[in-house]
Amino acid sequence: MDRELNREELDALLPLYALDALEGEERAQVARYVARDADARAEVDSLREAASFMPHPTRHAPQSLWTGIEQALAESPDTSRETPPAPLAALPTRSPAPGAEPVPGAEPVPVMASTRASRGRSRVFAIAAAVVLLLAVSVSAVLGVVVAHQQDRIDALANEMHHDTITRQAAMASTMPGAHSARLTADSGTTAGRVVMLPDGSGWFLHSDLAALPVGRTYQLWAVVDDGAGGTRYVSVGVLGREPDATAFRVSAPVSGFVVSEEPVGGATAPGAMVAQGSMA
Amino acid sequence: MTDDLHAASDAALVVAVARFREEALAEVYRRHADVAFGAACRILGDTALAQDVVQDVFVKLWNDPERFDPARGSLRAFLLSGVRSRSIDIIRAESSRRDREVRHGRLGGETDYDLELEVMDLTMAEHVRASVALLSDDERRAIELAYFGGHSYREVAEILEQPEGTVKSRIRAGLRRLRDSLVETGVTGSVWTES
Repeated sequence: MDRELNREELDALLPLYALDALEGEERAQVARYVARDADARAEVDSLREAASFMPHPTRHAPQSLWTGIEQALAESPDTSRETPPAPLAALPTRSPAPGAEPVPGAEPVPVMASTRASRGRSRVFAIAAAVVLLLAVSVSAVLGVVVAHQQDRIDALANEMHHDTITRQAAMASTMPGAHSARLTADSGTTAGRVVMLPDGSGWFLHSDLAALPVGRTYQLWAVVDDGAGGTRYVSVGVLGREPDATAFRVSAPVSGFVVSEEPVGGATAPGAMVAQGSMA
Repeated sequence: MTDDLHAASDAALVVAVARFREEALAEVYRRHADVAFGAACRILGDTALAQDVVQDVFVKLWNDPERFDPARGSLRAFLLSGVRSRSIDIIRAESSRRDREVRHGRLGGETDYDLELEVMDLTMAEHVRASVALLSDDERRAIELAYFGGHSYREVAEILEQPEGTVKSRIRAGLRRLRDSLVETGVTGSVWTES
């Protein structure tokens, strides 16, 4: 293929892309299209979901399959993370805790026979105590990292579930009578976000493709409403943060459109640099 | 302790997996292992390889649960996508496609799609059957060769001895009709598109 496919052609290839049935340049062009276009991504996701309902044969998974998974989990470093910290007295004397990196110089020193002089024993005890302390520190460090990592993954999933809830609410709202939506486009013509609103003033902002802002800056969403004198004014709907995600909001006045602006952290009372806008359909 | 997991949504189960609750992974396994294993068997035509693939997919979910994005689809689709992707990597590395086709034919008689539907909610299972029945035989065959066989549409056209354009149209029309029907009947979530 020696030419760029147009949008219509790319859209037509999405079902084949969803099944991985494209090759070469055709596949590469559709992949680039899907990477930059939220609508195309949503289309591919929904088609893949549908394909998963094709008549899949069910075969009873053998017991050995779950046994193999359990063994793999036991061998996984992550498995040790649920193990509560062992009391110091129970710490292994020859090796660090499961999953812990060996600490250079922390090898336990064998305790010598009691025929040694008391000064020698004291030195041995001091070394042993230092080793135990070092081990305790290393185990604590490992557990600290583990706990932080575990919290990260829980936070990530919880955020995804929150995003999912907002997205589903918006999807349901968009099918309700009287629902209106707006596509917010950037100056470049790309879709920067979407808004759906119900007549009762409930609204959702989602599908944001806005680039992350530097620290100290934030996006802010504004509703465009009638000012009562034949013009319009902007009402702040909310600060969206540096990397906007799905958000629910409420606006009491009739809205003709929405604007996204870039502001200092904390937001502004009037829109500054507008980065995307759109009218209600 | 596991009663709450039996009633939990798939997304909630994955959060529990992220908290390293092995019984949550066991519940995910109870719900989806049979269909994942069946799909792997169908694609690979080899139960030992299929077992390895399904094991990898579940261990991957344990290690990287954040890769599952509930906004992008169901856990079932996520797991099947992993099974399919790994299986196709394996068969593409094999030299003999013909052998695989023979094995597909042999395994075809061992499949039990209805059994899978039995474990779904009855109404939903009926919707799925009805949606799949909307596909013509030609559309279904083309989609199956691409989805389960890992063939490109050009290869599908060769296998079916049909023009490439015809195969593209069948896959496109069939898959979109299936999707629209599943959405319409509430089996899968609606796709939010601008009105």
